[in-house]
Amino acid sequence: MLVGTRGGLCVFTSPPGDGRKPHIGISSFRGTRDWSTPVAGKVDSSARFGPASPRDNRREVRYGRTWIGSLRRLPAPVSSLPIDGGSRRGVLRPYVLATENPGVVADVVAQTRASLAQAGFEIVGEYPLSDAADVIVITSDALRAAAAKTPDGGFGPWCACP
Amino acid sequence: MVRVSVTQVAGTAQVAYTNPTWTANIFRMTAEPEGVAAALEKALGRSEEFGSKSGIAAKSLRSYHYMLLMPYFDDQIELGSFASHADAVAKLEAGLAASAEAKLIYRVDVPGTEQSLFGVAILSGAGADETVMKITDTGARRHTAHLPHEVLVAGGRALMLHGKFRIAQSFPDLKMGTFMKISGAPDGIAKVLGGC
Repeated sequence: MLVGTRGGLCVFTSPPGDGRKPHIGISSFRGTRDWSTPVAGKVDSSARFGPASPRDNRREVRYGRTWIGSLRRLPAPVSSLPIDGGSRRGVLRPYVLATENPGVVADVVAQTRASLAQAGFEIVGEYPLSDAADVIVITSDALRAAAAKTPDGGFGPWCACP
Repeated sequence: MVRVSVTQVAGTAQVAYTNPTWTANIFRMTAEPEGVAAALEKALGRSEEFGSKSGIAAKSLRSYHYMLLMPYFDDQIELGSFASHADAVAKLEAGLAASAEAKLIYRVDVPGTEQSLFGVAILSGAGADETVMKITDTGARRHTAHLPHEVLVAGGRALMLHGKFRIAQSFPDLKMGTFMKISGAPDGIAKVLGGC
């Protein structure tokens, strides 16, 4: 739905109920789409772009790989509020260093496996990259439940896939 | 799913794991896995978070992208479309078993949904794990837990995160010059996974 225009920029929102995030498009950019329902006296956008269908998402995906696409995002919807996890100073980093001690990888991997199992984690796979590096992949009921709570939560929800 | 790494660095063994709060935000989950961070801390310990010098706010992670022209979380790549979830899972498992370029590390099914997450090692090509890590993972604290890559089978579709997004969220401080050295990796990863 077109909700406003300013200086060549048009703010669009997705049709109600389709789960998509608000996004920004530029009115003159070929392929931006008026999502509004056709009304009498107004040109039906589907005549220009074809009938609304899941295929329309493809156009949005392409925008995601252009600089215009980088402008299209507005803050995440209320349904996905940030989770700070009680982080100190309000910022997060991708990894947690657990320990750093003298030892050989094979021995430490065995100890780590035992600690994880004792804590109730399920080891679902292991990736030995080399003698000097190993990855143990774990899950648990809590992790599975969190994925199940989020629509399409295997990665997390998505709104546009090619 | 959490990845725990053990890496030998200068005579010490670093034990690290992916931060579940980071993961919950960057993958736009509606809820953080309950008690997982505390359980990991109790089981393995918690010395410090690392992987981003200044850190990134949870709110910013939910719409994270490395920079202009780079993909977002939802700019995913569809590797294939199949008649059903069972069909997609069977085809992917068979493809991985037959592949010399990729290796299945794990499979996790999300209960109550038609979703299965596969962890896959990339063994060859421009996106090979060894090649990418040699160039990107050179800091004092190792990002070994970046691997393996994932393929999500959701219903009848097989999807992967865009390689650029997946690498950038694991190495948010990566300089553009280093990124350019692995410029072929995202397509290389997609090529290998798409061939399975």
